[in-house]
Amino acid sequence: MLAENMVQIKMRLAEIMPNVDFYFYSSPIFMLIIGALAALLVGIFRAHPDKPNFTSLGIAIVSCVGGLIAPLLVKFNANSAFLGSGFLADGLSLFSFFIISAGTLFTLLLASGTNTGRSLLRPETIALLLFSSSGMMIMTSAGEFMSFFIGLEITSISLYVLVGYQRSDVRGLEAAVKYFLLGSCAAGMILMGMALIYLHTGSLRWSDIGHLPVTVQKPFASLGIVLLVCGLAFKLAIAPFHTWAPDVYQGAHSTLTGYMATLVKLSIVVVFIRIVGTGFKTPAPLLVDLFWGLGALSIIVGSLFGLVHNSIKRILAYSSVANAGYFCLALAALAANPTSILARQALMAHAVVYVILSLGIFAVLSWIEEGNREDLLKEELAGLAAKSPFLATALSFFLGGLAGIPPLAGFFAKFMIINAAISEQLIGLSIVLVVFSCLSLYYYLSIMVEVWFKPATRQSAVLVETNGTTMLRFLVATAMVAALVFGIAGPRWASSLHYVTAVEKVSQK
Amino acid sequence: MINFISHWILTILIVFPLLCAALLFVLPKEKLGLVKNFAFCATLVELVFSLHLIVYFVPDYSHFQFSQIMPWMPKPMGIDYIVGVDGLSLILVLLTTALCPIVVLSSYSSIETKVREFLALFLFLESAMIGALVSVDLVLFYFFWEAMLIPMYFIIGIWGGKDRIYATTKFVIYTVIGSLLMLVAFSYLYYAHGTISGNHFTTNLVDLYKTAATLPVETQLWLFSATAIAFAIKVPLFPFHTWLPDAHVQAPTPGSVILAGVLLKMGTYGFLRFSIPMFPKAALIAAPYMITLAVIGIIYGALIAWRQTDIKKLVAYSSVSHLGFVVAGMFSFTEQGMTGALYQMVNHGISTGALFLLIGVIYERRHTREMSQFGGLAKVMPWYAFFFVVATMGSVALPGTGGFIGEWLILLGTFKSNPILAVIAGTGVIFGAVYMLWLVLKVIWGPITVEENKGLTDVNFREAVILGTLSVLIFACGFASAPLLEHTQATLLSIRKAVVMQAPFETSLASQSDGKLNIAQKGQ
Repeated sequence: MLAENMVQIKMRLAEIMPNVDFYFYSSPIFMLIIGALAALLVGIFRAHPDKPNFTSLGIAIVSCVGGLIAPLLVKFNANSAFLGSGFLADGLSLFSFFIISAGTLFTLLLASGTNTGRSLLRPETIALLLFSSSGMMIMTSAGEFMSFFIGLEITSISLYVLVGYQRSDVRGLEAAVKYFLLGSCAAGMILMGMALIYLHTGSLRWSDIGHLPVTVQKPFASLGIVLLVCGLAFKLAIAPFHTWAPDVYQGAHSTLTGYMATLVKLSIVVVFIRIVGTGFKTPAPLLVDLFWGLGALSIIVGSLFGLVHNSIKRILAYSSVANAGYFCLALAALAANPTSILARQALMAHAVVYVILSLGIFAVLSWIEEGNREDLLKEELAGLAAKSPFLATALSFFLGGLAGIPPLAGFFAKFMIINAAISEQLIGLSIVLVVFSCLSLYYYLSIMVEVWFKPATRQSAVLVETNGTTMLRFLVATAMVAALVFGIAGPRWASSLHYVTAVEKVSQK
Repeated sequence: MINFISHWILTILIVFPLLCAALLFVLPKEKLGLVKNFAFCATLVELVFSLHLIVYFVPDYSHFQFSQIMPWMPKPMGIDYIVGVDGLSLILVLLTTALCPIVVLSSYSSIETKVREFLALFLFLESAMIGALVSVDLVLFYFFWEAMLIPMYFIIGIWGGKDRIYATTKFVIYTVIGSLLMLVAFSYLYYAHGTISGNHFTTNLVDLYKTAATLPVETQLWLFSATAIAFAIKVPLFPFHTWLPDAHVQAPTPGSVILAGVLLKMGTYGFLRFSIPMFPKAALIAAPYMITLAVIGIIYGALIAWRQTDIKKLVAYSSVSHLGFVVAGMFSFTEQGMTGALYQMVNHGISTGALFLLIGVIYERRHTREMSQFGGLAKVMPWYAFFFVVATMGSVALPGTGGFIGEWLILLGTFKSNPILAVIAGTGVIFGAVYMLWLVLKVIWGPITVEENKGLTDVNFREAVILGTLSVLIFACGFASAPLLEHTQATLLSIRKAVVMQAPFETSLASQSDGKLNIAQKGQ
């Protein structure tokens, strides 16, 4: 009897305990964490605590490059689960590792290219950035609630500190406090949702959510799902949970805004794909309705409210709300048909293109902000085309991409989303997207009008040459090339990912 | 060799201007003459390339000739790079390639700043226009259709007049609203086809013609409306025309010419290529309403044009009126009406293009377009007066010009299907003559009223070449219509057959080999 138990326990252990493959697949996470610790350690020996520490930066860059290369070695086609379903090594997570490492590298290099950005290059901030990225990686590779929540909190807490760090003006502090309070509130909602789901299913695995009795007799089961989705909606800045976005965008450092506006969203989208796509085996009408409502509201709010603002960062914040609405559209399609490969492809395509375009825009903004005040107004960009055709072209390229004008990047992502939605008969919401994306086109155009068609005035931003300009030029050009490659090659790569994720394979056994 | 060229010719036509646009940036910036001549030569070479089409095109077939298929997106999505021309697109491709050298030549004097950027955008525009005309894949078409917007946005916005920003923003937003509705319709069709054919997804037009025509009438009506709004905005059909006067008046001369000459034709082309043959049941139901709107546009455009004091605005409103004829003709679903509509598209492109160039000539000399500022120009600019009168004759459709054949065929066709509306449209011809002759009277004849006009110089050699070419074309279309029309006949007849018989539009891809046509059995 005892021996039998021992054998069983051994077998369970063998199932759960990590093996060599685990360390191989999860190496990007470890690289970032080790990089963060090393960067901190180096900081002990620094002579001038206020100056940027290039040793730490070097360590961070090396670890990011490592995180970038490691997933490429396995070519995104792994498909296995470790630690129960706590760590999934599949195309989705490895691809996210790649994008997150690339985005973090981009942010670090961007910070080193601008004078204001270099204030971020202290050992502790570099470490926070790396920790935050490792948290995102944990989130994107999670297959159940526990490891997901750990990842989420590592990311969020690092970001709360980063947003408020070294900020002397009121706006920055306001942004940090607002982000912290609302973010914690969201974390609370997610926890409550998790608890209620666990109460009804007795499992933390996402593959078991499908057993949730979503009926009128069990209101708390539905409440659990609703709380979970709403909590995640906070992080994705979906209306009506978007109110933090404009303030945080405006208050935070442009370099950081680019980072948190993009990579966090990518991670949450991956989490949504996993929860909705692997949790449910049959259509989930509750989720369809929920995403329908959230999506329509986000698209409307994001497209309309952006029209009245003058600050470019606030406009971009509302653009991100509208984009979050587009995600909801594809998520509604996914909830309507959890096996839909099309919806997954659309979500990933849109997420990646959105990451590239937004990082590009914030790189351009950080560049222009050199020698000017932060938080540029639209009018201050007047005459940019005459001063720097390269910057003007880059900015229009990214904004046009966000607006989804072919042949620029962003069109195919939007097209795939509309396709996914229509294939699940979500025609009403598609029409909402179409009509309101025309409205949002207006504010993208209004920025381009200032850049291209207006002559420079006394208020216009002054462009200064610094020793980081070469780096900035390189980064912006890289973002443009990446946007072109992902935009024109379109869904070809998105369909090459294995969307039957590891946890589905496990639950099929 | 010829087979090889025939296989690649459409791709060459799309890529060549784009390549030249990129090469412009390699040329030294300070040598403006070189940059301009290079762009001009590029458009001329493109014109020569396009002549290959008319030489080797086989009339009497409604198939997409010179077709080429290359894989683009992943197989299951069924979205490929498919190009081909039939009679409909052939004649418009030729119009485009013929107008482009003229437009580039006209920009020598009218564009003074950022010349290189202008020419690069213009070549990009040419590439997109040809791409949109030869696409036989819905997504590819949409791709080029929207790509046409970008250069036009900048051409109006950077080189335009005083209110250029308002005009260009309005132009883009109007067009995008329409085209996104079209995109939704295309997506719906894509899934409808997938469902009907058992998960065989495709955006190949040849296959979709067959599926779309079998959809129930209500669905067809919805899809027809969504695409028709997109094209009606582009045409522009009353009441979607309000962007046009703004865009025309603010655009620089080359921008106006290409807008009137080719971009507006994209709307009418869209009707003939997509809305009508795809949804024949809906098209037949919608025809009386479309003709009514077109006739309202004819009369309304003419009356508004009459009251203008700005010459360019007058010509812009005359476009609303003239394109009303085109829409009325194609929705009459008679052989004469549809042929006339297609022919009138070409004529309008030439004669209105010439008028905008003529306005550009005096605008460059006087920097005003107010009618009251001119008068008696015939005395100081005799050659200018000659070209102006010729272009006006083309515009009012005097016998001997191409416009006469076009409008006469349209009225004939419309009368067959809808006599009352045809009679009302006929009065539009009279109004057209009234406001155009009024314009000639005010600007060309009479005494010289403004002192500054006495010192005006006549057209120079370059301008004379441009205007002379267009004048010859105006009369050539009037006297030698048969060769052009016989190339289009087969396609127009099978579109008409699809509507009248309420049957799918039968067509397929075909390729040239040794002067003969190889017709593919299936779309794929």
